Amino acid sequence: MATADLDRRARFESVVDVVYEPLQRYLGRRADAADVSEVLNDSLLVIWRRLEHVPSDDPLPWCYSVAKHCLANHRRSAQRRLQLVGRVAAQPGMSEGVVRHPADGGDHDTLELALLELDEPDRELIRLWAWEQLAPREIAIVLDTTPNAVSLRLKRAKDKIISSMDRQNSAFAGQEGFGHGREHRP
Amino acid sequence: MNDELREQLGRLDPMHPGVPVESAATPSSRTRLEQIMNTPLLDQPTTDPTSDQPGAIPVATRTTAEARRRRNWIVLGGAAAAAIAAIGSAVIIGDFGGGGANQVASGPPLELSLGDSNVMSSCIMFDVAILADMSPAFAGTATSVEGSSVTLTVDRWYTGGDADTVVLQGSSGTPALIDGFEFVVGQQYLVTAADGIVNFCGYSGPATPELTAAFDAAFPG
Repeated sequence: MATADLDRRARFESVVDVVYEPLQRYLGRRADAADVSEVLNDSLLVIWRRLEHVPSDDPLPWCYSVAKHCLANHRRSAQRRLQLVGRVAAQPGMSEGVVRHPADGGDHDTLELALLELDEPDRELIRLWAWEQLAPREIAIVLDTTPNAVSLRLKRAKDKIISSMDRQNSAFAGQEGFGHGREHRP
Repeated sequence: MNDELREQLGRLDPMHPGVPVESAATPSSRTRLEQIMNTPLLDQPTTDPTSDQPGAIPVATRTTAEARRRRNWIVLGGAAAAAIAAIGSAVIIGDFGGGGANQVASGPPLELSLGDSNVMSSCIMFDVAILADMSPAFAGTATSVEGSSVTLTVDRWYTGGDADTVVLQGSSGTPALIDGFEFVVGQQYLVTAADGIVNFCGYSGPATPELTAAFDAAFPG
């Protein structure tokens, strides 16, 4: 094997060391389990073919962006297949990840409901920040925008979550108070 | 507030660090990675390191000036381009301007112009290496054609966007054309644009096997 080939393989392996597991988590948060392996494969193939463009200092956001687009293309293909066989169904949007509905009985109903109240772009922003633990400049790479825009949108999204939780808690406290009043009524 | 909120959100993470994922060192991972590393590499132009990003990768890193520079030597649409396409190719000229960078919003339909049919334009020879420098680039199926406006449902993004729908807007009062062809509902098209204006001269058109092969070569992966 030529030296250049060996170098390329070594470089790919070094990128894989960094991104292999995070990419599985990223996809696991946004895709059905059955699709994760296939989209991971697609993503790794793109990374292999475009290895020259993978940032050497911080490859992960770039690779998340690859996965994002591979997932979007995967979903489009799947949706088109469904349409072709006349089974048009409401499929999750490209960036829609797993957010359980509060009715599922999670322990964090208030926060979950607040998340569900966000629109999908804001929710994706929150996921990248809280779950992928990315900084605004890294999120900007994934979403193909500017760090400033990310910072502003992120702050607004967090404010919406806090407001929603406050509102839910106030409503809950009001109901509690009302209930107590009735219990102690003679 | 930040740390506390992040921590609370972390508890909702379906793939939190406690959920096992496959290591790159397992036999099945090694098989997967070996298969990928044995995949033949396609020839790719390397003149612009941001050009052949996967999907919409950092289009934002391109400057408007860069986008405009590319636009200068590509093509313009409408009747002029149709005429030029009919007689072959030539050399390009002229700054057609165009506003805004070729960035694409997520979610809402992307709007692209089919150009001004009254503007003169010229073509350069079709080259996959030049095609690979185009962003956005996508395959889409026409779902409606209304006068000068065409709506495409995106089948595949090659680069530069993630919208599900793209609206192509031609000159008011004239039928929408793509490289001289009228749009047909149900027909698939391959489209590139720069500065928000669709490129012609073979860089966009009905999805013939030849053009599809060129797009696949230009945008591997």
